[in-house]
Amino acid sequence: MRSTHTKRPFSFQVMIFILLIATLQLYGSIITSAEGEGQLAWKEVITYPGDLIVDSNEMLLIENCTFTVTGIVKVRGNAMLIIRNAELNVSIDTMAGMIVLENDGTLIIEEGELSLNYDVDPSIHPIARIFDVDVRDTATFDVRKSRISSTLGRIRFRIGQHGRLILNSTSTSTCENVIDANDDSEISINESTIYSIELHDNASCVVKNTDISYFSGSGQYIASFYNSTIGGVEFVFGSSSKVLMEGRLQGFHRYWNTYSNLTVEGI
Amino acid sequence: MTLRDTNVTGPLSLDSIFTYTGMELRVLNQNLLSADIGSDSELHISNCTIKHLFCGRHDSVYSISDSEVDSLSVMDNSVVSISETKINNLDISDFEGVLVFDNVTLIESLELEPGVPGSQFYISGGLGLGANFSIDEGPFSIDTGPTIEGPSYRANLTGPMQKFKVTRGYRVVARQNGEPLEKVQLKLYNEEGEMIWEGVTDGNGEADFNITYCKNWILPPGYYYSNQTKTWSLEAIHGSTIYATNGKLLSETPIIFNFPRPEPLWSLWQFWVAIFVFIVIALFTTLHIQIKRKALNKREAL
Repeated sequence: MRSTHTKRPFSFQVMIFILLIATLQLYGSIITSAEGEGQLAWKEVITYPGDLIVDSNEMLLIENCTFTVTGIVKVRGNAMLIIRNAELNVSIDTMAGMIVLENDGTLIIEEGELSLNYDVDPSIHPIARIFDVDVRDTATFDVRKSRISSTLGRIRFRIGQHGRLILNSTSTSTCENVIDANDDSEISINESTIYSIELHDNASCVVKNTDISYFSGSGQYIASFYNSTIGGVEFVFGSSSKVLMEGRLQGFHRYWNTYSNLTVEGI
Repeated sequence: MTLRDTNVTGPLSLDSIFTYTGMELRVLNQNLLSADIGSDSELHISNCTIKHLFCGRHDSVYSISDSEVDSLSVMDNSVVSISETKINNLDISDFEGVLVFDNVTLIESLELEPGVPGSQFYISGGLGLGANFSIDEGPFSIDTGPTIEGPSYRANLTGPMQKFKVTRGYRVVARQNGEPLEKVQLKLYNEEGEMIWEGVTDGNGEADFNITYCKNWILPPGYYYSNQTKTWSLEAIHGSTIYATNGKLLSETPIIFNFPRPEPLWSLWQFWVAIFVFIVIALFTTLHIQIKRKALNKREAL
């Protein structure tokens, strides 16, 4: 009985030790893989041929895998697509406007990656819409703690018709990422990387803790920047505008408001 | 637009769409990358630095003062008034409006390309030229080639349909020891030696004259007139002092004549000769009188 009692803890300790070593080795291989490739890698790879369309109140969750779509991704009709801890890879030269969100559709990416790996440039494709991500008709594109990349070197977002774009702690690998917002759309960006924001026609944006290279606003828009840096600003004025600019816009601003530093009427 | 704890590191751009009309922009103390407004509008800029400024559109009015412009394009039939401003590169193309300079300095280059038949512009007021701005190498030899490029100057005024008329105002300043000198007589001669203007400086020591330069300008009864490469000479006469200078379309203004202070009498050698002669004559006269007196005294004593 004694010998039995003394052997049990020993074997239990060995098993724990072996499990610990195996876990550490597995974790080490994951870390090495991630560091070596510069991005997260998931073991499971799923290829979805053709267009991925999520419609009619459906909800599709893609998790812990690399999910490759050979067509466009479309979410519409109050449906929801969630990419959680996974990579959504859009990788074929089909129509431009590779991500289309419309009619209350929602795409959420949580701690994942969106890779736009197609070769065709949406802006020069013969049947192209000229944007990579097109959010319209009260649809929402919500990206949190994730990464967005494109092999074309730039990503063009179009947010229109009450669409919403939310980027939170999200990085974009390419140097020129343009957000073009219009028609009562809303932009919310926090601790993310974006090259430029262009607002038209009642669009609004709230930017926090983010550096952007360029901001352009025309028509009626609301733009709020907090603890951020703006490389350059362009004001586009409409007919019959009355504008007086006195306070120097360049430099650090504890507080600067269009209505106190830039008198504008009639735009 | 609201900024809180935000740094704007780059310049500002003011833009519009050419179909927009009737806007009025007043911009002070800004660092501008570019500025452009629509038709029938007004843009007033003061104390700004501007990379690219476009002064065009139909019936638009621009005023630029106390600023520095790297590249300025003037087009269409706009009215452009520029004062106390430095311009690196000025491009005047298809321009049919009014351009007024007042104490403007052109630093590097001027390009004139009035490609529309009948285009004309008007320049008045002071014009300064930067140290690297060269106009002595035939910039307005318009008839000799398609494009003449100097080290820092380019004129492109060729083509049978190209024509322009420039009325340039020249300001003349006469000074003596830094003080305004009035009533200096001024005479302006053309290349043929004919006097084409005459005037005198006013109480501020200043005077103005205008010259209209044309290229292929149709004058009644219907022949082309060109004088854009002509030079003129200006004489300034004060007392016995006469100064003369030559000029042409882009000569720097104001034209300044500094007259010397009248020399004191003792600075002339004739004065000292006269003094010497006077002293010699006085000595001889005194001696002569003394000798005469002595002789007279001797006679009386005898």
